[in-house]
This record gives sequence, C-alpha cells and structure tokens, in this order.
Amino acid sequence: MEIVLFAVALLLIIAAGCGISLLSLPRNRSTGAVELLCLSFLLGASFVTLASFTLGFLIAGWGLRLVITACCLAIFALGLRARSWRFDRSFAPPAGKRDWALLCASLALVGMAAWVSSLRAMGWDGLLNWEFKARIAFLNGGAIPLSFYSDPTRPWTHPEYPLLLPLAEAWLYGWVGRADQEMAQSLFLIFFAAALGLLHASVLRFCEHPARAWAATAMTLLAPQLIFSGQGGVSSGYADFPLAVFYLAAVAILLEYYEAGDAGLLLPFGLLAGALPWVKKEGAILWTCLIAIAMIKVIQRRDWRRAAPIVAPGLAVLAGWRIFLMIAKPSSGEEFLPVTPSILRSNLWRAPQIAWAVMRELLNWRRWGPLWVAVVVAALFLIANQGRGRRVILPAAVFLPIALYAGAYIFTGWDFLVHLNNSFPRLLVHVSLVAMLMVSTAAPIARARKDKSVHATPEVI
Amino acid sequence: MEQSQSTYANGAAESEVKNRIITILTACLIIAAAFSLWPGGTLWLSLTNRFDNVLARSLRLKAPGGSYDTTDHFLKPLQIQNPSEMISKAISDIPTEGAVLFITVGDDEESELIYRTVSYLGWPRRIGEVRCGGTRGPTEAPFLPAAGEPVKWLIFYRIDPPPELTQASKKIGPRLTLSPAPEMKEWKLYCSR
Repeated sequence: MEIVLFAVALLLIIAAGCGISLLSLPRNRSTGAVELLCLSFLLGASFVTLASFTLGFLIAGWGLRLVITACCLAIFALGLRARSWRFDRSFAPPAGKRDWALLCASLALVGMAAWVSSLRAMGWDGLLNWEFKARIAFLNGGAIPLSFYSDPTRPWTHPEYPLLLPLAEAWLYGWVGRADQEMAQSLFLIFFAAALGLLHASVLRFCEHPARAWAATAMTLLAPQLIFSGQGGVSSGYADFPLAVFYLAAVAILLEYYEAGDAGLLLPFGLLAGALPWVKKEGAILWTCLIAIAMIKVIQRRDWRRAAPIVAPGLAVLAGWRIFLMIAKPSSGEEFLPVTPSILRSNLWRAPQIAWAVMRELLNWRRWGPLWVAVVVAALFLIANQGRGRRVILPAAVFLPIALYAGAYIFTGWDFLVHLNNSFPRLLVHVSLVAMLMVSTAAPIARARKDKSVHATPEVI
Repeated sequence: MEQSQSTYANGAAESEVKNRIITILTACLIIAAAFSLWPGGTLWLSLTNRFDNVLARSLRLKAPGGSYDTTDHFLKPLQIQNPSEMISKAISDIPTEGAVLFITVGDDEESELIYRTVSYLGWPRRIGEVRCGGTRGPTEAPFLPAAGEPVKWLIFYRIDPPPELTQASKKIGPRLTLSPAPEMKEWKLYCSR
C-alpha cells in the first residue's frame, strides 16, 4: 500500500510539472517523452513545494494535501487543454534499438545508484539540515512552524536554507503517512534518473551523433563523487545534486534559446532558473550567472519585454524568501563576512592559496576521475570549433560559477582553507552535470559528420 | 564546377583526418593523465584503490536500513539496539513545555553528532547543549534555550550525572542518562563533580 501512496505522491508532482511544461514550452518544440517526464518532475517539485510553503500558513494536514492535489490536477488539465487535450507526436517515446538500449543502460545506472544508496547512510547535512525539516513539516501537518526558525537550540539546522528539498520529502511523507529516512534517499534516485534523462535529451538535441548520449551516461560513472562516495552525491541526501539537475535543465534550455533563437523558450528557462534559489542558497549565484548570460542575448536583440519571463520567477522566489526570513528571524549565524572593498583588500592574500586548492580539488582523481581534465579539453574544443552559442554558454555556465564559488572563500569568516576543503567538493557537484553535457557536446566526432554533410551539398549541385 | 567539387571534397577529407587525429590525441592525453595522476600510479593499484574506496568502504559503513536508517547509523556509539526508537520512546515521556539540556564532555565530532541526532529525535522539545571542558577545552554552551525558559530535563552523554540526580535518572544504554533537572541551576554546575 505504501508504494502505491508513494507513487500517487510522485505522480501528482509529475502531473503538476507536466501541466506547467505543456503551458510553458513552445508548441512547435519537439520534446521527447523522457525529457518531458524529467522537466515535469523538476517543475512539479518546485510547484508542490512552493504551494506547500505558501498554503501551509493557512491550512495543514489533509486539507493542505487535498488543496495541493486539486491544484496539481487543475494545472495538468490546463496544460492538456492548451495542447487540445492530447499529446502530439512531438512527445515521442524512445525510437529504435539504440534509444531503448540507452534507456536500459540508464535504468541500470539508477539501479546501481539505488544499491549504493541502500548501503550508505545520509551525510550529516543530509539528515540534519535537510531531512530534519521534512520530518518537522510532516509532524506539523505539511508546513514548518514559525517557532522552528527562531529556535535558539537549533541554529545548526540552518533554518535560513530554502525549502524545496525538505518540503518535497515532506510531501512524500504526508502521502505515505510516516517519516522515513530511506524514503527520503529514494527521492534522490528520482533526481538522478531525471539527470540522466536530461543529459541524454540535451546531448541528442545539440549533437548529430547519438553515440554521444552514451558518453554522457558513462561520465556519471567516471566521477565517483556523484554516485559512489562523497558529500553532495546522490546517496548523501544533500541538496547539491538536485541543484545540479535544475541547473542542467536551465542551461540546456538557455543553450537551445541561443542556438534556435525561439523566444518561447525563455519562460521555461526562467521557471527552471527561478527554482535554483529555492533549492539551495548557492542557487542564487547560479541563477545570477544564468540571468547574466541570458541577458546578453536580450540586450543584443534590444527586446526588453523578453527580460520579464527570464528574471521574474527567480526574483519572486528570492524576494519572497528574503521577506519571509526577515519576518521569521532565523537563529543561525553568518558564515561569511560582509562583501566590502575593505575586506576584499585585507583578505586578497588568500587568493593564490584558494586558486591552488581549487586546482588540487579539480584534479582530485578519487572524487572526480578525469572529468575536469576532460572539461578543460572540451572547453578548448568548443572555443575553437563550435558555434557561437555553445562556445559561450557552456564554458561560461561551468567556469563562471566555479570562479564565483572560489572567490567567496576570500570572504569566509572561518579558516578559509578548512572551509574550502570541506565545502568546495560539494559546490563542484552543482556544475558537474553541465560539465558532462559540455564534454559530450564538444567531442569532435560530430564535426566529422558535419564535414560529410557539407561534402554532400556540392554533389547535388 | 568539378574542380571546386574536388577542392571541397579534399578539404572535408582533410578536416575529417584532422579531427580524428585530435580525437585520438585527446583520448591519449586523458588516459595518460589518468594513469599518471591516479594515486599509486599503476593500473592495478588504482583498481584496488577504487575497489576499496567504492565498494569495500561502503560495505563497512553499511547503514542498518529502515525508517531510522541514518539516525541508527549515527547513534552506533551508544551501543544499544534500535537506538533511534529507544531514544524516541524515552524522550516521548518528556513534556514539550520546558527545555532539555544535553550535557557532554569535550567538543569532539562524535559527541556533537550524538547531540544533534538526539535533538532531531526529540523534536518539538528544545534541546540545548553544554560541553563540559576539563583537559580538552573550556566549558561552553553553544546552543542554550532562550533566557527565562526553564530547563526541565537533562541528558548526560559519556558523563555521570551529579550524585543528587542519580536516584531519579534513567539509563539508556551504557553511555546515555536521562534525568529530571533540579530547580534553577546554572548550566556550568552540571559539569562539576
């Protein structure tokens, strides 16, 4: 029975997300069934958790769950209505042996991640910063009570952290009827499956050679930090991996906008990017990077109206959460010093040591395998060989956040090297999936094919 | 037309050869980097290292499973069966009004993890922490309940409660003791022998 209730909770998330996807994606865009499912899960999780948070102030328990369920089904119906009550052929299931083989390989990978998850407990932060809030929300009828935020005995739970992950876990707990730490870990497997699906879909969208989709799958195995070990990976229960999945989805749509120029893509991009600050505090940095990249195109086109769907969702989340924190007055302390020119000047001596520590981390084979070496090579390939969109977007989406994250340690109030060694590996998880997309996209295999197609054109003449 | 076609074909073929060479060189570079940078430096060592890191360590760290999978794993140092359930049950007898103090020795990672896990299981009770110093450091209370909130219960970890409290106290395994708090006592006094 529990598995049925778990499936219902998950299906409601997907239904809401599917409705939002159908409403926001351009009608002429060809979206595969797997990609639609992955986007639906991400957008649905954002919707359900934001609804839990806002409606949780008014109602609790079964009432809250019923209202959110009704909203999920209504959005799904609206999405279908917008598409004339049917999924058209553009939402194609996998076609051909190669697609199905890839799907099977991905499922095997998810199975392996599930096995590793079953062997490992969550990390400290996974339980105490994230799952704890889900448990509190569940015990309180689906919403976290205001008294939690100002509890002076629990500032170590970081009450100021955003709530997508805890409220998504609480949604599952609410339907199943009990808090369960293993169930919370299973949510990360769904994020992992979504990551694989989005990687495949994006690689197939941007590359002519389907073999590259295998490269993206293989790369998740090469970086042990993601599946096998380490904080921030799939089994750890941290918000870093879900953040990476949202970031991948947003970058993929932004890249598509740069390459196809379809302004209809800006709304789904804005929604996905806007969810980033709702997943984790660092999501605000990722959101800023993406908005900066997207605005370049908007400024080039001088189409200022397009800025609204890009900026509004993220701005609403950031401002709303900020206002809430001002009211709730969370009890946690500040890890970082104020970002001022005087502190920058006085701490600038840290920069060379930070740069060295970052290099060492990128070359940490036990955690990352050959991923970051491949990323550097891929960036060089992209800059030398590929179209303008890819050349700018992918390297910027990977290296800009890394540089900003590294730069933040100049302002840390702790011992900066200890802080960096503790947290930087987790921060790299955020951009690792986009890094994999970049490596898969950059390999010169498709270039050869392109040359063949160019070769074919004069023969027709 | 024929000349331009053949020039085009030659160009494309050259480009293809060039790209293949770049691919092979990149692959070689990545493989060489993998072997040279990997700790141990040889394929065999790297494989054994990876096996140890990935599989053997995971099996050694195997979590017990179930609803309290992670908390049971964190509470292993308490040396009791089903520690999360035991503690939840013991704490459920404590009324939610009034705070609890978790008193431990030193500020080592294990004590901190036990405190936070007990606090997790004790929600919605407010559970503060007192770290008794001694040779390992100063006595400190990083997370105290709000001023004016009475402390009704005490949890001692790896430290014996004061003699006047032993009568009413209840042992949860060999390392944890739950005890009602005496009327109004300065938190530092719980550390004194």
